[in-house]
Amino acid sequence: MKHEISFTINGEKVHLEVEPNKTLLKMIREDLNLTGAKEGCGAGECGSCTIIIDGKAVNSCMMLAVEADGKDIMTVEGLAKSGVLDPLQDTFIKNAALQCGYCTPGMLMSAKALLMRNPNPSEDDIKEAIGGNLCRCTGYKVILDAIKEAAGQIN
Amino acid sequence: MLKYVGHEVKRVDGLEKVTGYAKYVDDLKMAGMLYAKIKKSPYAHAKILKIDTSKAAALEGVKAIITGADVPNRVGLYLEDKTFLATDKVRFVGEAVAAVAAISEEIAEEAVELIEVEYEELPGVFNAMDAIKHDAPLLHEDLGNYKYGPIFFPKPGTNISNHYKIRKGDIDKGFAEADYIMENEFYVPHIQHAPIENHSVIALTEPTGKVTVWSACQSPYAVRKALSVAFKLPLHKVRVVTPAVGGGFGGKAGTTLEGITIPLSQKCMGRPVKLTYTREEDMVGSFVRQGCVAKIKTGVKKDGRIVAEENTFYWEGGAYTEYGVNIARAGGYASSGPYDIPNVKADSYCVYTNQPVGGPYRGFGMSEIHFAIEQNLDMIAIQMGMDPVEFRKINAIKDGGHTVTGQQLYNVGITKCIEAAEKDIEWGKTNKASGPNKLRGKGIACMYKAPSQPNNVASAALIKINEDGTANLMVTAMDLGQGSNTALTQIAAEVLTIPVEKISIITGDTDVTPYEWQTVASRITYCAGNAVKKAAEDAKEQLIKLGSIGLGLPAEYLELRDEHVVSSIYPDKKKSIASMALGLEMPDGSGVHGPIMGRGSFIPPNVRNTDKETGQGEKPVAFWTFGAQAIEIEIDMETGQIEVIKVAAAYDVGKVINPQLCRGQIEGGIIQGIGSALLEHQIMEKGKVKNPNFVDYKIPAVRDVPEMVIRMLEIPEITGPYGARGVGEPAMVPTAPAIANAIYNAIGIRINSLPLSAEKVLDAIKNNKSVACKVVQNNKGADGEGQVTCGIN
Amino acid sequence: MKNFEYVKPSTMEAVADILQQYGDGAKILNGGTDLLVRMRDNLIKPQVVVDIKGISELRKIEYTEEGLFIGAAVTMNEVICSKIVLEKYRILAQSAHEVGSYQLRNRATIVGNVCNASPSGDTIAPLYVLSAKVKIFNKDGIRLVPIENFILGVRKIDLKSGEIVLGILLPPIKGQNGGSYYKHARRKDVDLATVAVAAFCNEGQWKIAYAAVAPTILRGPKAEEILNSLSEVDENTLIPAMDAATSEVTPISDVRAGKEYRLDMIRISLKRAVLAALELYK
Ligand SMILES: Cc1cc2nc3c(=O)[nH]c(=O)nc-3n(C[C@H](O)[C@H](O)[C@H](O)COP(=O)(O)OP(=O)(O)OC[C@H]3O[C@@H](n4cnc5c(N)ncnc54)[C@H](O)[C@@H]3O)c2cc1C
Ligand code: FES
Ligand code: FES
Repeated sequence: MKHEISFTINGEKVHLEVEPNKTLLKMIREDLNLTGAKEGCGAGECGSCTIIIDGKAVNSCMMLAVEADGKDIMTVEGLAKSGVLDPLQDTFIKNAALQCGYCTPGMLMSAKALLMRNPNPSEDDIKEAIGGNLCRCTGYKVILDAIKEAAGQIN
Repeated sequence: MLKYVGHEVKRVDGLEKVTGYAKYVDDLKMAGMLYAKIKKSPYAHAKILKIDTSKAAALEGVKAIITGADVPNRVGLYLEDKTFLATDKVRFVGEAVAAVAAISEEIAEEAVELIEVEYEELPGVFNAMDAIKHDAPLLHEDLGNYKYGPIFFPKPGTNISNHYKIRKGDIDKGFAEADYIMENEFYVPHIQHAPIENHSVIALTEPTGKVTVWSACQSPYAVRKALSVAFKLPLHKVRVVTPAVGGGFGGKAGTTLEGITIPLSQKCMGRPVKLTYTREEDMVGSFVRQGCVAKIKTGVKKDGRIVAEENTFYWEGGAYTEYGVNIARAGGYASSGPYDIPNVKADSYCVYTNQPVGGPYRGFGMSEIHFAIEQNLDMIAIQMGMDPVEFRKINAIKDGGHTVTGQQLYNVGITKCIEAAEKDIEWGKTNKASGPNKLRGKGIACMYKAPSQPNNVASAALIKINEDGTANLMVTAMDLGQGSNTALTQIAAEVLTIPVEKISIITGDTDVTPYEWQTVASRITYCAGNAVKKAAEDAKEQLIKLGSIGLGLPAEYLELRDEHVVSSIYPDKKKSIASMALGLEMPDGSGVHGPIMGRGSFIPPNVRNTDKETGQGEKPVAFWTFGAQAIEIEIDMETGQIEVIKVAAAYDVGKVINPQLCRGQIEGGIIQGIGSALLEHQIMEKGKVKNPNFVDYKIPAVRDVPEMVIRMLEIPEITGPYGARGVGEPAMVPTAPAIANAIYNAIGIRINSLPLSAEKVLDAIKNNKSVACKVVQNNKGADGEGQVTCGIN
Repeated sequence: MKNFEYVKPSTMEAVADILQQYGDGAKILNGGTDLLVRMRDNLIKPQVVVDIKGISELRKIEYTEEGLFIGAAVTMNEVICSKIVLEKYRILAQSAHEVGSYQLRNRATIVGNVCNASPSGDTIAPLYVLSAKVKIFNKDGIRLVPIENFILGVRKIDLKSGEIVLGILLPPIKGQNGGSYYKHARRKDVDLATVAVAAFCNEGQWKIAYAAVAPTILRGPKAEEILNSLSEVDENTLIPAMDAATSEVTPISDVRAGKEYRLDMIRISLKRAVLAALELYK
């Protein structure tokens, strides 16, 4: 049986009917056509599906869509506000903190959630925040640099 | 002075990637789309007796089912030994035997469960050494009937799909001259590329029979060719479109899921069929890096000169070696590493095993053979009481020296790379460990690599100049993350003096973008770079010609500067590129020439076949890239855990097109190298992969990253664009052997197989399982005579 | 994932009713980080999934004279950031911090970890040494079961049809104490324990628990006895306890490690956990 749910995503209110066995990731990608969040494993291990719910980073592959009812969701598509990039997006480009870009949306959302709760993170805080985000391309160093630089800009 | 090339130009794909806008295949959604799933073999080797699809077909929502009978044609890049679905028998656990297209993934999955397959299990072979035994079960009884390229040497009636030989100098004489002869053996297991994007393909068949595939692939044109052979379609009826690709590392070279989705789409005319692998399917069902057993016998003079080397490599190629045969070949023609050895005998065997399909993997055999070569060198140096760095310098190829194929090289950067790495790691200085029960050590390893590609592989580029002075650059070089879109745009910008922001690059559509053989082999900056440079020069020539007419000045005194054709003598005499983009407007209102379109075609110059028997040839490859890494590690003696503290890497890249991207390639390669050294290993039991997921196949995460010091040397490659050569693959090659050498340096224990897992290291420490350098002959009475190895640890 | 009914009751009674009605066909959904992975892999195919996150009492974390109650739906990150946990039951926060990734810990719960009853569940061994009790709701009342009795085997727990875990109760700790959890894994970020040890000392009395070396978490009575008998615990004197540890565990070989290595690592983990606990002893 389908469930009716309502939530906010990137500032927009949405009402939807979803099957219980649909993951939140799948709903976002297929029903809302927000394909920024990616599936790299579907099992919580890679972080490429990371989005922010009520201010917290979560793996959207490990949540049911129905669980989004009443929540406030942010995906990578909601990072830039009226065409102005988030500082993280700027510093990711500047530091070439991405190659293939597949991990990038998840990486950005983990980093965004970190800076939302702690605008002044230490290197260890950053590593903790993105420890669950795998990147096969960059070697991570530039990603750390980009997040540090964005934190510096906010402060 | 170069304005764009050599500068830290921002990635041209940055914005679309940080906004989540970039579209990868699985992000594409099309009207009427169907979803496919595959039925997989539970057996490593079995005859297929019967496939019953009737129950699946009866399920509501199922639109098409295919089995091997629907795709009987053999395909393969170098050796046509595979079919897209198993036909007569299955040869590895996880091989696709049938596929379903349905209106939803869930229904497709349910249908797959309803397909019943009867098998008769056959004995399997699970390592190369067993597979080459004369009484081993054969995987491909029909090997003798398969088609293959003329540079490969399959042995019908055996499991050997390629035997590549090098016979350089006089090996017997070489060993006779040697003061010491030593023999060592090494093993590298199977690993997985693990790009974060799994394989994904959508196929659509139009009523005209034309097939379009949207494929997460590295090489649209190679895929188009293979599909045209497999499905007997003319090339213009196959279109391969490749949007953004989420990492390849070799795993997306060649064809995979296209061959399954096309026949499904042919049965559902007009409806796109999507197949996206799960992580588990990707880990087993797509290419893996082949396992490799390497045996090296080395003859050395007292002064440290290696005078003879006999290498034997056995590649565990898996169930199909359409691609693997060429890795065996590459291993052969690079068999002694970046060293000048006068007498070499090498035999490189690609061997079928009932394991996942081996294929190209960043390094294309070089990581595997250098794991052996570079440890072997350390073992010999230490045995002879020489410093491993000095020993390498003595034997490194110098200007005018020769590779194993007899190719003479000039402007060889290896010694400079060794010196740079040596300096940056502070070779010879032992640092204090971070705690009790911990020890530090340093190790070095070198590498060289050439693009392993057919001699005459072609690249093309087109540039259209627009009437506002902007340009569109079209290539089929794929940006898999390595940054080729940016680098190629920089090259076009440099020639045309049109800023990077004013050039759009369009890639990956075989109906639109011009030919590119493949995005593999660290060849794109070089090959496609040359094609782009030529295309830009072609456009430039046209612009200068028109400028000459328009300005009334001779062409030889005109140049492009800041988006204008400018007189080199009278700088105020100029005409903008924009004004001539559609042709030159004459004073009387008429026009000449028409739109400016630059064409560039490139084939690496003069790359020629080697001798079939000896492998000797003056120029078997386009260029060589040299590099070295020196690594400091710390070992926890209680747990065996290894922490990489620092990596000093030096590569001769010829010319850095974009320092930031080049550094990114090297850093990423080092981390992938660390993964292969310490963590990664496809654990198999009778061919069944026991860790096909990120739960138990661990790739490096953020806290595995050491300090990295990267040096990019620039000794130009004269045939490269602005002198550039490739570096993407070389980046990971020396990491694993350098770490193994560092372990020895720290604790005097030699481990000759990967991964250097904590468990293996501790076992070696506790049970004193160090592998000794085996000295088989010692003419000079040095230490260590008569030691025996204890095989692979 | 096979389809199912999803319900999100707001009272415990309603949850109990559904569980009773569907028996094995119903599964409780907490953070979902175990449940959804198992459903994705088709290892389980529940008819009904009962989301308990709508029940406010399960989100409580409160300290009373009975001790600390951690509601079933309290997440790992909430535990890690809880002042009271950090102050009084630091070892639990430390082990919770070892679970998965940051984003996973925003969903995963301690009670989910306990009810999943995996031999490598990171927060379970600390609960053993803290003498935790599992607070269970059924329509006839509440039962309190010591954690050691609650966990019966791999994914086997003492929960009858219609019962739900309300939360964990940690008794108050009196006197000087210190505890530490040492996890040995292949990778620093996001990995399951190869082996792990929880060590806790209260007024000179040690409690030890081992993870990933038997079908359930195990207490280490022999190691405890040796440690308790020592006048001074240090790197040298605790060697007999390390030896004892290897005799009280029964590890297997699997993809993560061989039996031998696990035995070696249980010794080292014991040492490291005990020494770290001593550092924190106050
Ligand atoms: C990527 C990844 C990494 C992980 N890493 C670790 C790790 O490092 N260490 C570790 O220990 N675990 C790890 N886990 C496992 C998992 O995250 C933990 O076990 C977690 O604590 C489970 O909590 P949950 O709330 O998500 O449980 P759920 O998945 O919601 O539930 C788990 C089980 O308990 C039952 N259950 C839950 N609540 C109740 C209740 N109140 N009453 C009765 N039954 C209930 C459920 O029905 C289910 O069977 C990992 C998982 C993933 C996906
Ligand atoms: S897709 Fe969600 S963590 Fe990998
Ligand atoms: S940029 Fe490719 S996975 Fe991170």
